[in-house]
Amino acid sequence: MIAVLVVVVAAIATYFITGGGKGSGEEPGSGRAKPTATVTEERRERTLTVFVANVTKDGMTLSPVRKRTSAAGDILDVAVEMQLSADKKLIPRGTELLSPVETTGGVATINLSKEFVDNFPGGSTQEALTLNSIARAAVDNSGGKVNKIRILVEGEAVETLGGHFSLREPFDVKSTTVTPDNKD
Amino acid sequence: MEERDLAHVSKCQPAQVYLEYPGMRLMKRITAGSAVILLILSSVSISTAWAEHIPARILLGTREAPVAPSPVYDGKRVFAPLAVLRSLGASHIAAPDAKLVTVIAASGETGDVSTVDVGDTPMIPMDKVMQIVGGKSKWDSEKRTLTLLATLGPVEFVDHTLKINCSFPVAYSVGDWGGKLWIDARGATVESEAREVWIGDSVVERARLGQFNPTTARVALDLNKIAGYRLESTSPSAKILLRVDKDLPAPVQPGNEEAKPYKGGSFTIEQARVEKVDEKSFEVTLATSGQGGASVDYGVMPPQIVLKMPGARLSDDFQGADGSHPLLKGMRLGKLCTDGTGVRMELDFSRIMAYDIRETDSAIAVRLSLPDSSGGTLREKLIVIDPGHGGQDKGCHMNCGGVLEKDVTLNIARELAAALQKAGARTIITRGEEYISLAERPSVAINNDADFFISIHCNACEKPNDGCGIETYYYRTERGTRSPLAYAIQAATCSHTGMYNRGAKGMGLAVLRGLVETDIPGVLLECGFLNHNSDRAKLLDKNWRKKLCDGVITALRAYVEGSPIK
Repeated sequence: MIAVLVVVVAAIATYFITGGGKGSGEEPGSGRAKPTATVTEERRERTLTVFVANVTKDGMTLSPVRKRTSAAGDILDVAVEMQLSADKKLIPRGTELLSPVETTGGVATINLSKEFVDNFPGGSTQEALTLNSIARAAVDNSGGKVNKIRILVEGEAVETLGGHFSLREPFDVKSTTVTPDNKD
Repeated sequence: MEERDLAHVSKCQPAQVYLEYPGMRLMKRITAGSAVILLILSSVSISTAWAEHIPARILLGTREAPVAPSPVYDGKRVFAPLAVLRSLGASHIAAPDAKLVTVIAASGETGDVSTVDVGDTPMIPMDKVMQIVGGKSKWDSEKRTLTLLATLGPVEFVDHTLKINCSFPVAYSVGDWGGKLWIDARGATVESEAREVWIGDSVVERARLGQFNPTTARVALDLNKIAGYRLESTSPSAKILLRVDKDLPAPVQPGNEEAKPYKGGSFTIEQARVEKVDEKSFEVTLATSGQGGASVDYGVMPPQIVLKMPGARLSDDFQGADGSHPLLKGMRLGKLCTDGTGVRMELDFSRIMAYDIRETDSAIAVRLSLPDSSGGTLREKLIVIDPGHGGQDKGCHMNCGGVLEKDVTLNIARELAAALQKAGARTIITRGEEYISLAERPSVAINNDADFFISIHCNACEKPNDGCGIETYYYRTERGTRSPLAYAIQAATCSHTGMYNRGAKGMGLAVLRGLVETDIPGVLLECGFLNHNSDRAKLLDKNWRKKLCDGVITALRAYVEGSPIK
């Protein structure tokens, strides 16, 4: 009986000590799994590359920016999270990363919230650079593990972000790069 | 009366009392009158003296005539020291009394002119001088400047040499572009009634004379084939001689770009040759001492490519290009950068061409060919027009004043189809009000064996009014070559509508990817920014949309039939 009591008390104590399950990344009621650090991840400063927009009269290009972060967690999760907040000109308002980035065979799957599509303003260059910035953030910070990305919206495959690029299949950085061109 | 006056004076000026006696008033009047007359006489004399010596300027076109002391203006005419004759290619013989000189013009004309001493310098009236020398003069009284322009006489082309006679020496320069050579004579005006001179030489077809700007006359030569040229007179001169010959090497053009850090390989260009592949294509090969980077600027207005080789230099033995092709109108090699580094090669075509470039350790080869679906007439062509978005996909709609991109694109597509049909072409529109997938759209072109695919879109950016203008996209291939159709449509639509030109650009657009394995040229035309107030107003204006459609038709005609884009 005493042994049973000890086990029950230990279980309850363990539950509270570990934060009542919050460490798993579940947000009660949201149904969205937020990527967070694993309990064994050591908190340390890292420098990651994110991309910001350079707007010119002829269009828009991306510039890499090196940023230091002490955010814990998988580097791809952190990199994508940082990219989503790097430049509001590039990422539709309210877009969130809904689950940890999963990488299989060089393809990183990035699950974004519906705001990504709902708040997209339109335009070919805008679409290209929005997709390109996320792809480059994932590829450039992956240490060679990622060469393509697949974007899901609310966990589902969608045809397109703005009607110009296909999101049905994974894409690489090159396919969404705008070739700088001479004017005629 | 005197009391009244005195009382008045004492009231106003108590400290001063004026006493007058009879006759004093008369004397005062005489004195005052004399003073006024003297003043008038002296001012007249001063102004006459000043007028005789008003400094003036003499301009030969836009450059100052090198004379000292300064010319003067006497209120009617400009006088200049005798040294001005040298600038006009003339000379003079002084008569014994030195008050008369005989002016001998470059043309051999002579005439006597009286001199006027201004200070110690004998000067001659420029109106008389110009009557003998020939030319036009214009006096600007505000700037006190006399501008002299030489008259450009009839031109002739003898023994492969263009001869231009001017009434007095002018500075000039030679240029070439798009199968044309020209000479700009600065400080000259065209006198000849004949503005077009048929030459009919195997190299030079005709000469055309015109006024490039108010002070520069231009003589342009239309060439039948690639030719080199050499100035055989030294600027400034009254007789301009330009030798134009297919056996002459084209002169090395000065560089016009700022040098940038270059990390690629260095190599020497030993030889350039043009080889005909067939009637529709040819290859330009540069024999090189090694491999180095070459980039291409592509243009359709006029049709041209420029090959830029920052690591290259021309061999000391370089003899110019061998060979020709009817589609190649001009070829020039010159410096790339202003500091003399690098080489640029400019190729001018008679119509829009496609290119492909290959580099090896010993050569850079550029293959030029008529692009897919070109040739014939527009009437024979089938054009698939794809209005972007549709159905549940509204396209751009945020901050667009309630306008949906899907509606604007459908409108433009229908109007473009109608305009193309009127021009005799056949058209298919990919969708009505409904949405069709990105993959289905190019399939419409493939399944119908179309000649062209044009996807119509409107642009937008995150911040309203942040972007404006037209841009045309093509599918960027691994080889990175440009799309002649995209460049033609971009150039012609901007030219017709006056919209800001954002350029033709390559991307991996889904709607064009389906065409990669086919020979159907396809583009995505972003007609303007729907979340830019001014662009949106244009997109909603029927007259503006007509200009846009006319631009697309002009581009297709240029691409298919070889007509120029203006």
